[in-house]
Amino acid sequence: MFSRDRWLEILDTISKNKLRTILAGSTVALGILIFVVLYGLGNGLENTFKSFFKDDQLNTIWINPGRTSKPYAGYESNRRIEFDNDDYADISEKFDFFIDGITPRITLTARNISYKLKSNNFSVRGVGPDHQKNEMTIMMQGRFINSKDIINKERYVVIGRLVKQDLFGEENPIGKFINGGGRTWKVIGVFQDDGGDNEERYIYAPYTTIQSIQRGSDNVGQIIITYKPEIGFDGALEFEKKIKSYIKNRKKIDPADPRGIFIRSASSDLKESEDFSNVLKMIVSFVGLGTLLAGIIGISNIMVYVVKERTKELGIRKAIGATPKSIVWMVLQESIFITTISGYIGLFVGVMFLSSIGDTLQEDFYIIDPYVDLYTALLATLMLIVFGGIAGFIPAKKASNIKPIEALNDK
Amino acid sequence: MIKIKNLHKSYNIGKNSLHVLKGLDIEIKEGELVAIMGSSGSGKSTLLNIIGMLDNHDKGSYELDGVIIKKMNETKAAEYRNKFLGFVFQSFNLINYKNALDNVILPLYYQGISRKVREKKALKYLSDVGLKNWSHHLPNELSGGQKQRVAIARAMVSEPKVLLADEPTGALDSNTSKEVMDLIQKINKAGKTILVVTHEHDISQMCSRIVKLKDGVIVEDKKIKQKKAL
Amino acid sequence: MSSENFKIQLRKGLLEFCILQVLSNNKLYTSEIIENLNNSKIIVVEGTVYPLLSRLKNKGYVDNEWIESKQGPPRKYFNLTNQGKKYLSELVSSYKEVNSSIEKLIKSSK
Repeated sequence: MFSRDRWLEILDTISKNKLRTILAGSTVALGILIFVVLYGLGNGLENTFKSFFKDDQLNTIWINPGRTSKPYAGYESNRRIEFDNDDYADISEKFDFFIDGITPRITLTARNISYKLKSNNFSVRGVGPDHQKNEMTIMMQGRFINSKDIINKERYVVIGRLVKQDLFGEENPIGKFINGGGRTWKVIGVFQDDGGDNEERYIYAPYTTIQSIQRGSDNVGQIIITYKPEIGFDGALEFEKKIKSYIKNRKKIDPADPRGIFIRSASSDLKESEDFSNVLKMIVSFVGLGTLLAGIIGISNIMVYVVKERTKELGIRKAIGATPKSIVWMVLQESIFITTISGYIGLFVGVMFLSSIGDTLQEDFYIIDPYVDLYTALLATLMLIVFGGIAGFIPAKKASNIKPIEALNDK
Repeated sequence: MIKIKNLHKSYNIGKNSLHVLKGLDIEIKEGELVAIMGSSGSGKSTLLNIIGMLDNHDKGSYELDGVIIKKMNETKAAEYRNKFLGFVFQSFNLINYKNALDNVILPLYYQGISRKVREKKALKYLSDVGLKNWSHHLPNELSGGQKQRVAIARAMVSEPKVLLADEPTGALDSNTSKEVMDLIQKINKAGKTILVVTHEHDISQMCSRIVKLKDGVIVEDKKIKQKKAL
Repeated sequence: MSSENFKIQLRKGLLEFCILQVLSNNKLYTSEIIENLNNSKIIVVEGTVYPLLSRLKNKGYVDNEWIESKQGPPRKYFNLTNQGKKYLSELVSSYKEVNSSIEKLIKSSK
């Protein structure tokens, strides 16, 4: 493929046109470099998104009450919707087939909680026993809230790891009493959560207890349901649809009202972030390709120049017996060679760059493990060869059409 | 060897067409050493180019060693050129980044001959022109006369039927010219048909037949007693 | 006022009474209370019923307890206290009194 003669020719052409070759090659190298770096960063970002969901169950949905935006059944729009104990109990009964775990969640704004001399602001949530299952909370000490606590409206709390650190330090908090909202609460458990620092700053109490300190309200805040994984993706969609229409009917919300209630699902969140990173990747590829294209045009340019420079030589070759095909092949080989070498340089530098900044990225930019896999690298190589061919094609064709008689009279 | 009847050739320059060859008839037998003379514009270079298959004729016929040469695709033309014809030019036309040996090898490379064989053959022809020790020198390290001798070796290496020389001594001093013509005469003596286009009287005297062109037609065609170059 | 309005006003005034009546022999949770009332063509929503239940509880006429259910969360069931039962019977007799007075009025004008 590349005979010794051919190498000699290629190297000679390059050495005679060092500056042009370097410039043209640099454009290609730069194009590949940009593509590789951006693509790698895109991968890293995708990894980050995936990690966000690592600790959450994907088969969880959060049902949030909102305000209606349409009048319906004698009610005006902008009506505030609330879920109550009956809603919670009825939903639980009616959709028992789908449900693996269901819990309400009443979130109170951060307030001052203290133990002896230490105090800080923490958020308190009123929840049911299934909350632990739904949020994959891991108990470090003691236990989570159970149904007896709910029925008896006990003033028990389960505190996050960071709450324990703040208020108790090294001391064992189980069985001790903390103060909040003018009442005492007994600590029955400590939990940890991989979902980030914020989770571990929460304090959980039975939702019925929270209801009773909120002037006997029946409000349950939001309802969180983890559905049985066996129902599959289609089953989940059906479930969401059914429950949405049930609640809307029950609360007298216009079926066509986009507000009123809002259901957030972990799987649709993940899909959204996947879509986002896919779009990002597309944009990146587009940019990278654009730069690459510019590089190809540069190479094509230099090949045209080279062909012009070598017109006389090409005429001699033709006079001696070179077929048009061999001339075309000659030019193409040079063009492919330059493109591929420049491309590889760009690839190499890009990959080196990615792996060297990998750690910094994780800390400063939340980008985890940027990388370009082998498959992509091979694909890039193939593309380079193809592009090199394209770049050299027109000059090559021009070269093969040189009339020996005219070429020999050149210069 | 060469049979040409009623050869016409015109060039288009802008909107006008220049009728360069106006019906040439000429026959050249194998082994002849023919000088083709004429002032510039007479059509001598055009004739040589057509014979050399570097250009196509418009009208008339051209037969080379019994093969009718007419307009053909480049690939076929290149093959014919490689097999039947050898060229020597006024400005040598060697490839400047290849050494003498590699220049001579080139026609063989296009014949698809293997590396070892072609190196051997090229070296033989290089020795024949007396430049065996200069085989690894680049053209810019050779004198004019040496360059022309390399060109002659290159033209001969493919063992063509006809050698075409276009002002072969045009860029050389008189002594070197004589050396080159001596070489050409030797090759002719060995049986090669050679055409030499020249405008120099001295050079034409070293051939065995002189054909004079004027305004696209042959005005004189006579055999002469060949003078020895050296 | 329109006759429709009149009906609404009447019902509003009697709502407490209706709730107590519904709970007279039953332990019901809120949705059931509302359903019962709706079945008797008294249309109410939770927004109306909850505050009423709260008021009744504060007055001591009504009490609630959490009863575990087999599937899912425990439910709040309401029932009449003894005080409530007494109050209800007083309301019933008051209502019967007013009712018969009005009946007499309607008959006399015919």
